Amino acid sequence: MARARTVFFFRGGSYVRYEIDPATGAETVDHGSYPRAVADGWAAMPAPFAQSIDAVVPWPDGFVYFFKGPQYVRWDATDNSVDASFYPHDIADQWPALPASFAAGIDAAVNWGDGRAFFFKGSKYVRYDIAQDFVDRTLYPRDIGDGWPDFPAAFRTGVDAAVNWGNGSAYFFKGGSYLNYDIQGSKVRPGYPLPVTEPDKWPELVRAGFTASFDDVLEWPQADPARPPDIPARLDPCSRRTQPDVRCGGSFDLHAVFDDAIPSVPACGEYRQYVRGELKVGDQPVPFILRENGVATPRKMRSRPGPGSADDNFLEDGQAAGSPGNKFAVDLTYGHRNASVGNGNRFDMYLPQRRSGAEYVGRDEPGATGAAGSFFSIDVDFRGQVVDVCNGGAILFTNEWTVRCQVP
Amino acid sequence: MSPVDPEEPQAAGDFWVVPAFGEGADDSVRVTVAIAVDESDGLQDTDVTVELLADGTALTVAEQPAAGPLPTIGLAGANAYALYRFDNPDRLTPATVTVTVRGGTAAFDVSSPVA
Repeated sequence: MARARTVFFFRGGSYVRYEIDPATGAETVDHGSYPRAVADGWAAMPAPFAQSIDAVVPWPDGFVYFFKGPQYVRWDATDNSVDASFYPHDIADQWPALPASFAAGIDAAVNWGDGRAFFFKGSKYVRYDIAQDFVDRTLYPRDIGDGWPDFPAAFRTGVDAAVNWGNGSAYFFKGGSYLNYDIQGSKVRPGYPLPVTEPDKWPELVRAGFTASFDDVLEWPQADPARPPDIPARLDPCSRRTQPDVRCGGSFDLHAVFDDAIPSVPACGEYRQYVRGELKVGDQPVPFILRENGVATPRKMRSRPGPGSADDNFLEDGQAAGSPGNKFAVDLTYGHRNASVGNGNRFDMYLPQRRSGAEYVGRDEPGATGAAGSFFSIDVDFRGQVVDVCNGGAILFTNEWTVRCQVP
Repeated sequence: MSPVDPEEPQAAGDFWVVPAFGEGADDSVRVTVAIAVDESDGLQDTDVTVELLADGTALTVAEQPAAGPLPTIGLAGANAYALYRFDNPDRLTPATVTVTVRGGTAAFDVSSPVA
């Protein structure tokens, strides 16, 4: 089921958050909250970029790039952070594929959703190969009028803003006008340009007073499973042996695949695993200290709640390493893309890269090991969730299962 | 009076530990210590000692882990378990349990319920 999407319109020191419900077609703005100052809503943004950015574009790895003059900022959409020790940084240093004229400043940028991005500067544009970080300098910069032949004259001299709407259309803005561009057909749809104030076209922007001279427009990244996650896959709730030692436990696999086409960004999708339940060793109920890091004290796994409890008692089964200096640092952390071991744990991998891989594969083998004659009882509920970390940890999928095993 | 189970683990040197209590037969107290471990730790019975003070008296150990590796249970992390039974013929009230793992020590007050 299609999820609501978010687009941000930037102008001067303000922005508007624009919500789109693909199911109903409803487009809304919370007019009680927007327009809002960039400095307020984008707390990690370096001060110069809180006023009048030139361009912004989402990247497939979950970063969003803001451009202003000869500098840029890399915004991490997965945790809304900016590495203040490095950004703002000169475009010329880190975007060597861009021509010098573009490194001096960019008017607009748009991710085309097919591995290409377009950067606009004055009457010129370049086509950027995202995977290769490559611009064919034998072809680009090129006149907008040559590459986009059905652009009206006013748009051939430059565009203010551009956005891939994620539904087969892209919008280009210039002054108070805009174009609706058919991406598949590579043409401006008939009847355009139109003023932003055209009745029934952008009523929410009009009401917000955002009708002209946008700095740029950003389609905010989000996670979308490509199909229902297979979690758990291959569930074996109990296997055991008693010789030569005692082993008792379950096993299951985890598999999720995320869409990879703007606005769907795999980096926004992560897996989380939670546990609760009861354990016994030698017929005694025993506690279990969860593997946690970045907390003052790790917690104990909790029992199943009693009837009528408002708390489900699930706690996360391992959390991301938060402090390299912590000697209890956790490296085995289900589903956290920022786990410090990266893809070094074969039971917890994003493929092909941990940061941006569209496929998650995991395996868990909860269980007990002891000398021959040991007694164990494992009765643990698992909750697996796929979440969108770019959008407040929205839960996209959830499932629960139990590993129950006892020996002898 | 039964001792309470501490709510929070404590660090005993390089290991997080937490004890739990159970009623033992024959006037004794069972103490099970959970120790958060890595697979490479390979804790043995000799790596752990547990002392139980009750009304100022150190109770005598009646049972302790068998020689060799401690039993473990693994989820995302793993816990090793050291199971003890202490004689308590006078039914004294346990007050403090002290856990030592490879030289690191943590003491738990188990005399009053945790709010």
